[in-house]
Amino acid sequence: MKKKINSKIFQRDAFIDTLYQYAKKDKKIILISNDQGAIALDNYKKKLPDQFINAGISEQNIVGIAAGMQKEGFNCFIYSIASFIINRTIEQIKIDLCNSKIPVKIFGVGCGYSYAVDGPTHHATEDIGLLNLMPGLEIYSPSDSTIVKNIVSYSVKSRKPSYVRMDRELCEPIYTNKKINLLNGFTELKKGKDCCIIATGKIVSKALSVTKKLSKYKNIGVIDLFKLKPLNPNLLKKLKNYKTIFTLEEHNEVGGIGSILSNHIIENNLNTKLLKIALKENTLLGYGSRDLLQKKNNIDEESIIKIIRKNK
Amino acid sequence: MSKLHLKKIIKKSFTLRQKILNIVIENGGHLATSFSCLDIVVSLYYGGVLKFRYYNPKWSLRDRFILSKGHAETLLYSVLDDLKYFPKSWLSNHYRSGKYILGGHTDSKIPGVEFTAGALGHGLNLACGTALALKRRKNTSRVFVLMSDGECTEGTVWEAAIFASKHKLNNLIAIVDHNKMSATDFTKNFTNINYLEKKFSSFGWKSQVIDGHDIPSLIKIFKKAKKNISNKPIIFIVNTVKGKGLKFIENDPTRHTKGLDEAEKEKAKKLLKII
Repeated sequence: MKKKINSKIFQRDAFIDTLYQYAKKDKKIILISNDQGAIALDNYKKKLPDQFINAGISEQNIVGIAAGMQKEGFNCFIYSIASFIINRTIEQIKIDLCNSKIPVKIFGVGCGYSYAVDGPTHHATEDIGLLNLMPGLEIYSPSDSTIVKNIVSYSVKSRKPSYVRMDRELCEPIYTNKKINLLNGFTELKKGKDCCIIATGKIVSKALSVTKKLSKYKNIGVIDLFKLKPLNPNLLKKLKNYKTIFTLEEHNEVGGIGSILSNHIIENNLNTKLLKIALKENTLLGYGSRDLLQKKNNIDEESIIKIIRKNK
Repeated sequence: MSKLHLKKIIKKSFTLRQKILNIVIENGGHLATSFSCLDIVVSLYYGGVLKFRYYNPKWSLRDRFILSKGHAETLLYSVLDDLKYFPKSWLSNHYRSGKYILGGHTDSKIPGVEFTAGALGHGLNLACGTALALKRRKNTSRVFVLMSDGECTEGTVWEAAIFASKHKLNNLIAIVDHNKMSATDFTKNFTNINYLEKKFSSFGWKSQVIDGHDIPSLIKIFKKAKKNISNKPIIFIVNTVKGKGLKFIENDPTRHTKGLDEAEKEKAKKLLKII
């Protein structure tokens, strides 16, 4: 990939722009959407009209169509609002993709509270939990646009079905001058002593800023966990280095990375203490600005700092 | 097609009924629904409608047959066994005998099965994707999909119906096994899927109501459908009798899952001349 993707672009545009670079050389790449827009999509649609299908608002149909085409030799990428394409199609993902090992790639935009004021219909705060139950499906949760580009390059060749949860808002660039080892599934952005935040998605940048603010008080590590399924077993070795782990995510505390990692800690008899900073059930299904919703769930910067200071 | 050949196909339909009954008696399975669409499947596979190669199930020029009503697994597996798609031992190791090679619904891991089915309302969408891909690849194979009428209460069926006509999938031939029954009751008692032919034609399909147990006519109609010169997908609403061939279970809505008791097993064997 020669074209440089500006890191200050939306994840969805990084996805479509990168896919476009591959699609113009490979007629088998097909982008299917449920009447979803994006700035980069206008260019893709104009230049490659035969490789784009707007299948209308019919998510279950779209997964079926993509599975059918993929089986007949096409390479299908689905683009939709995350909440719709996941919550509505669990059976299609389980049977049409996972059971038959058909490697369709789903790129969902609007993870967590990205669509804040649009409310619970648009919030994707349970997608990791739901999809972690799907055998053979890979899950990615990129923290910036550069990593999205890497995921697309990998997905074009991958023979596994996958889901990528993209943020709707601009993400702080994290990997502009940093190497990404996609297969590793995580990056230790900052080494710490005794204590580490493992975060996923846009909120990784908040983890970095929190650790800066707490630097005088404590040396806290930061790990960006961007491949959630399958989890790299080497992550366990990192966990062992720390006495306390804080998981940070804009996802229901049930089923998110906190849940996933606490399972690993128990299964492997680690002494590491884990504290989940995530969305609580009683605060879900509401409306509000993203800042407000984050505050309500104690995942805003101030609250995170408080939690960490309290639980050193 | 010669009269002799037709006679052989009709005889095949009878011997497959016997085979299915034997399997169901031995291992369980969906008897009534298999008998309902047996003549349709026999016409497709033995009447020279489908192009296929049992020794190369993934042959790219095969016509794709997608069984959306995955609960007719005993029927499809009996046909695939008869056509040598997999070793003879597989069928006798059927799902309830403990070896789990063949299960209670069709699975894509079995040679000759295009997609896993069992959850309804998936087949037509998968068939649309398959048909669109074949058209784009300029592959002239046809896509047949066999659905149940109860399945037409799934919303996904209508999502696919809209998609297929918009994309002019004239290489797609859908077949509805219209036995007027669902899992627990006559469909008319709980839903309105009357006039399916009108519903589909209003969605931009070519639709036709036909008899599901007249094998010579089914073969003729399916062969003609493969030469579809319109730009519309085709659907056949096929009038069938659930349990066809065993008078005492025919048109009985309780027979979708209910097995045969010992006396009924003997009675059924007698009716199908199994000694």
